[in-house]
Amino acid sequence: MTDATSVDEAGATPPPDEGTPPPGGDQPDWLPRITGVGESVGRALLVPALALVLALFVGAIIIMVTDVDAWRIMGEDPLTALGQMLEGVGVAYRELFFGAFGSVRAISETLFTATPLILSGLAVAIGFRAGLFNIGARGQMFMGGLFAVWVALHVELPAVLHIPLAILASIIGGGLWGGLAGFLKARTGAHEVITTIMLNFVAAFLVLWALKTSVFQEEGSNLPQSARLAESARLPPIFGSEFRVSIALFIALGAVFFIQWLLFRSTLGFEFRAAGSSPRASTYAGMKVPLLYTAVMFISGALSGVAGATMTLGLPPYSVTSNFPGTIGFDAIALALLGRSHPYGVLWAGLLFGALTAGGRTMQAAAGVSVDLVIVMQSLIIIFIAAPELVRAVFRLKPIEEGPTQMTKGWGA
Amino acid sequence: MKTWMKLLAFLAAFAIVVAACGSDDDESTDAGEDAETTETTEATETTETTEATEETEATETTEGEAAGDFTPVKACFVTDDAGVDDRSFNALGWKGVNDAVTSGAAQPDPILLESTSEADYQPHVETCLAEGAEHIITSGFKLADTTGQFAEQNPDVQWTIIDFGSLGPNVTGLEYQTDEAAFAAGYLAAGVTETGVVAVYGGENIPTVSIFLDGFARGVNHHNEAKGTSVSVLGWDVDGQEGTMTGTFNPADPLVRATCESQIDEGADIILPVGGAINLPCGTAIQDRGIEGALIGVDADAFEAAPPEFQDLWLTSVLKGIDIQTQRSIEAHASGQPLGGASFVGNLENEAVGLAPFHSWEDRVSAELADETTQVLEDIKSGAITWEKFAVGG
Repeated sequence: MTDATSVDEAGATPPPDEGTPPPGGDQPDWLPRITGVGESVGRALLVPALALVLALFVGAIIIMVTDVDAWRIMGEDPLTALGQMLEGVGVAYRELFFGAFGSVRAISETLFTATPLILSGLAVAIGFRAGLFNIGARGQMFMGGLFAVWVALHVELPAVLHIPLAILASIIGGGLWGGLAGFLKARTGAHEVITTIMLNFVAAFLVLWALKTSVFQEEGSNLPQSARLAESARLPPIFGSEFRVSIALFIALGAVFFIQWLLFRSTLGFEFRAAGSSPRASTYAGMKVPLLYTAVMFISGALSGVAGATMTLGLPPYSVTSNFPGTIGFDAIALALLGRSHPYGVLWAGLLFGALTAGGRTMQAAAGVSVDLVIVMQSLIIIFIAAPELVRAVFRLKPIEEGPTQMTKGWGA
Repeated sequence: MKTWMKLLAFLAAFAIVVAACGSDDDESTDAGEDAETTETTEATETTETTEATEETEATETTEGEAAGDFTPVKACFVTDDAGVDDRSFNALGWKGVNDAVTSGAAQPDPILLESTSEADYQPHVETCLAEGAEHIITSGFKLADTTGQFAEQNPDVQWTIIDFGSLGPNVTGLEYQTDEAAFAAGYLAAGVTETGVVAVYGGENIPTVSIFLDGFARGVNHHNEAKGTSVSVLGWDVDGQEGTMTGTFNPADPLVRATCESQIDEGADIILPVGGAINLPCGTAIQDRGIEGALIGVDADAFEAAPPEFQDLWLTSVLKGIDIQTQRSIEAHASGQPLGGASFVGNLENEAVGLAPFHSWEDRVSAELADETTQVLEDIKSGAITWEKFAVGG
């Protein structure tokens, strides 16, 4: 970054008419390293894979040192204690694996858990591609889910129309919520990190309030919980009602291919990426960058909104309570990083996190290892990815060759 | 290079261990769970006062020597998305399960399944069933739909749901008329306050939270009527059934402390925060400002359950015997007479709710006020004091 850029960043907000660069400058040059924008395919796969191996290794150490029973006999019989610790690790990881892939139910749970993760991960990834940090996936899930639930409760239609309409409502709800942050950035220069985080709170409280109103609440109930959704609006399960994975999975897969096409095969996607690399160059090239910011945030929000719909229309027992996004909105950021901001990468990352979450439940029950370990491992994976130098040092990899990544560095670099 | 060869070898060794491990799951229910158990027990080692006065058959067996009457059942406990360390109903329910293990009614190493989101409830309940649980305890109203559905599909399994009514012939509902004890706490607070202002706030306006606020506010009003005082209550509107809510049960959320501080700013010196650990930031606020204030704990006796640095702050606690009732429900099952099909409503009469001792505030509560408070408790029990009680159950 040259001084010129910094001055530009710190300077007064220029009036947002056409031809003027939007507020904020080019990306800082450390950003592509973390988000993976502009990376070669080989490297995009290698570092996350090695990060997973490292995280499993550190997780094993954590399981061992927290084995209270083994520590008790450590003084007298260290060998047995160590063996017991290793056995504990073995049982835990075996249950983690079988809980994720060991049965039809396990696979169903992995796919079910992965579905909203993939959708919201895509939402964050497309933001990264356009140089925007969308931290608001949680809020956008809330709004998308709320809109979908409204349609599910108050519109009467056959399922073939009801479900698409409810999904469309979630696209609008999430899209408007995300687009609002994009619009604020384009118009006023309000940083999207700040606005999306704040809009998360607004959305959460809005849902909390809405669930206490008669519009959503079951008659005669005073709990913050929606009435049962109409059967015609529930996403049909793929393998029968015993398993939770629903057609939402196909929606997520469709979204992956659509975003792949949008980003890398369409003009709009090219403009998104160009705006992400250098808003000023894009402006000089005649692109309407403020409009692009709003559009990309709308699409990002819409993807999160659909994720919210899958957690309401697709979550038995189909009665919505106040925390339906869970931690997905934040996991999405981790997923986009792990997937190197690439739609296919996000798909695999979503499946991995889905498997870890589903397997973690079984691990908790059968091996007695706290489910928190899964969260620790997910976090470790992200830390290792955010510090690729560390992974390379551990595994003695060659430093990356600069080259094609050049374009993602700002003009000021 | 050598080091990393060793590392790889170590990893390979791991892989072999992982592959070699047979199917001896049950033995190794270990570390994480044990650690949590200890912690929870520590956090909620309370309500002995209530327990001591219990007169039910099952409890007598507990306190007696042998566990001979019990056929130990395999228990499985599912928390709601607040997790087991919520210093509230999840923690107390899990303590109850472990107490049942101690009394011999539940098999050792009960299963604990902590939910982190609503998507966890169904798979957790399914896991309980897959692991062969005979008694499944689901914690909180959020699990009601899932519990009702699976209880119907699995009539041979006994279920206990905390903070909700019975959902079928094999489901025991545990509900608590906590406003009875909160009423007495309100009366006490109105007698203790120096500023003439007391306050309440909750996590969310849900029945299990609001019931405390409602009872407390009515207790203050009762003091005003009976003694001609004019103590005002912040944070709850008895007529509108609305009040001050933080919107979160996460004590780290800055909004929690801000809520408490704004009430202190309005002159409140006795505060009842309801919702897990959201009372702790308020304790810190009182300490930081150096005011002569007090808090009222909920669920367990906070003097014992909360971190020791807050010990001077607890005027009393509104006790809610979730642990005792959970234990009793499992014991009833283990003795061959499951309580399923009925809702147990805990109140002052059956001593499942109550008021904790004043502990460090003993000196600052006049003997007269202490006697009056006891009398209020008696009057509520006998029905001499009565009001439109808060409706429990979904």
